[in-house]
Amino acid sequence: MNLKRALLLAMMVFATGFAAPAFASLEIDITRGHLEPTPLAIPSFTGSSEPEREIGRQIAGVIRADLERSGLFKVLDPASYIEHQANIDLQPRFAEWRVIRADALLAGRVVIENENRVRVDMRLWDVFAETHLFGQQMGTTPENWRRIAHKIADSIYQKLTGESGYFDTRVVFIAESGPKINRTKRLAIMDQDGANPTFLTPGSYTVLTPRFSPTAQQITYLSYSSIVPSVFLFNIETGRQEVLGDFPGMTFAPRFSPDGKKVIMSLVQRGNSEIWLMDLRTRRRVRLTNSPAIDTSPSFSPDGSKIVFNSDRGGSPQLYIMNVDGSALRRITFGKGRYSAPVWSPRGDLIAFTKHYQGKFHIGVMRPDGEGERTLTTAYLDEGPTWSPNGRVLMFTRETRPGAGPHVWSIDLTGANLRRVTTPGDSSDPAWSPLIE
Amino acid sequence: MRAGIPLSVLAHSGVILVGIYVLPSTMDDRLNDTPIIPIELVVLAEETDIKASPPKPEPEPEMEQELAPEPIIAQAAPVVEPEPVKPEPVPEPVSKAPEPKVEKPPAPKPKKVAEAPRLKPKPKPKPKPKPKPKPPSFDLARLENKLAKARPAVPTEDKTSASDALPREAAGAAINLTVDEIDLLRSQMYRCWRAPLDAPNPEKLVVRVRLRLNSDGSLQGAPEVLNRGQIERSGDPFWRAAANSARRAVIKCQPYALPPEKYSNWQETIMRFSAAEMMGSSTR
Repeated sequence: MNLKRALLLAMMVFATGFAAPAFASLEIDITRGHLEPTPLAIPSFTGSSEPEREIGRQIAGVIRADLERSGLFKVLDPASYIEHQANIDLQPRFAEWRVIRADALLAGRVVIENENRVRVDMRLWDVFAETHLFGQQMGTTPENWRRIAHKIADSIYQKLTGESGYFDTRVVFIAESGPKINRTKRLAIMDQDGANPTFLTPGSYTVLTPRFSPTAQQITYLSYSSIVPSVFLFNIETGRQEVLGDFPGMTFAPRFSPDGKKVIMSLVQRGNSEIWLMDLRTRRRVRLTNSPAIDTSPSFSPDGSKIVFNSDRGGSPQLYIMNVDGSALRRITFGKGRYSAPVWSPRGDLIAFTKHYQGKFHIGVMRPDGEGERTLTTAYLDEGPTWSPNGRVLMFTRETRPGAGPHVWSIDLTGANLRRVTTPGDSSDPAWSPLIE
Repeated sequence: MRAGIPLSVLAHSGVILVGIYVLPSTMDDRLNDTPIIPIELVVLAEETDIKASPPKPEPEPEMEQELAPEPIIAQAAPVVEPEPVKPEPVPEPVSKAPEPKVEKPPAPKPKKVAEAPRLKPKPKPKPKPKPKPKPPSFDLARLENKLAKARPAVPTEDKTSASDALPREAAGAAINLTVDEIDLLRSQMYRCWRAPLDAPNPEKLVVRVRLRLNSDGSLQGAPEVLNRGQIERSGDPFWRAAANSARRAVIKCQPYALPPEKYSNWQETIMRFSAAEMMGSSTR
């Protein structure tokens, strides 16, 4: 018995002597990091023939531009690359990429399989961890290479930030031309980077406020093709247009519900504007607000349970939130200035809006409870924000000075990455599509 | 008339006395109005934790006192630790120690001191044999007593015993890095780590990474994300990206500028990445 106890004690003595080092690590809190863009190396994609290499150069160029524009990445100058990989299936010489301090390396190859099909293989490497982050293979028709580039940029973005990308998307907008008094306003669509602009309506009548459906297949907009402006639906694939309901009065600011089955809009009757919800299948409509004030610009929360809108029932235009059945109404803005055009972020965490204050216009964001308001832009005229599908970037219309034509601009949530989107001629009222399937 | 002289002397001396004693005190009152500058005394020990000298004397007296019967160097480490708690007079042993142990010439001591650091790996394997032979000679109760004393002390003693493992007396080593050294490390990490402030709820994306470092501050093998399981289970892509980004930062930032003499303290380091504090100051 005593011997057992002694042995046990001896073991405990032994254990106390040896367990110690395992707990001896130093623990340090790292609470401050920088916010600089992540450096990437994106060499032109390789190919075994000159046409393949030409597509490879173009694809790499589009990916670089996409990622740079996001503000989250800095693509290192290709002239600084030491290694020139011939075979992307071999592990790169990481040390040579570490020298130029690239966090990640994209290696790609273009193969023209036949005249109707191009295949692109790519791999993303973590240079410092020396690991393969992911590989992808995509095929398409040769003229469709831009979409492949956008899809690759989306994959990289998602892998490195954890957030889905927004590069393989399109933007509908109003293309404007002609003198101020007789302005031509046509519905147009382009890739998110301004490439492939196309007109959707002829220009013989004015269109306003285009909005995408959640499938990116349909657009709802306001058309003045008849005497009374009315809400239309436009199918991008078929080009078919139809009037959305026959309303006794003017309809404005239509927007789809997140499930795409309903449209919410404001309807003016006897000079009073109220918010209505319409079922697209049954075409039945329900009035959600009832006040003598102007209620307009409704936008759904991404879960479809709430609606944010703009009303001047409190004196000046302010933002209000209500349930989808019109209940639980409450005001969320109390700041100085006039708020309008609220749009709920697809991520659900913020509401973007236009604010007019002290003679200037601003694009801002706030949380759905009205807290945490931040101003992202300021100009002579900034208005009509629309969210990228990942809820990180906003496009809007800007006029830099009186008389200057409007243009589409973009800003990200940091407020530091302001860019003008290239459009042919003047452009306004952009609406960002969801990610294209 | 004559009475006027002493009266005048009295009156004058009165005025002088008033001048000497009363006026200064009224002046003092005014001076007292000046604002008092509070001085806050901060106990640096908590922050810097420099336990330089105590560890040195500890092993010596311990060994001598305990080992007197059995001159095995190795035993000292595990068993003796509790003792320094008993004999508080840390400085005493240094001077007294040599005196009582006249039996042992001063010669063995220097040997121990010199050997100990080198023999570190050895001492630990040895303790096994030690307890076995001891039970016969040692009283069980005494051993138990020692254990009882040793245990509560474990958390803090761990560090000393761990740090003893390498430089031990060589540096009289501090137990932890100083505030300055940690700040230096933090500023080094600042350049390498991109804080995930773009993600929703960045304060939740805490990542703990364990680094094993060489004495030149370079990484010994791949860093390990300690809460990997938790991150994977959450299914949160932002958290996963934050973990990769923290791991990348750790690799990118090497070699680390850390004091080589404290290598044993930072050879294994855990960095806890949290952007929570940045949220208030940033506009994101």
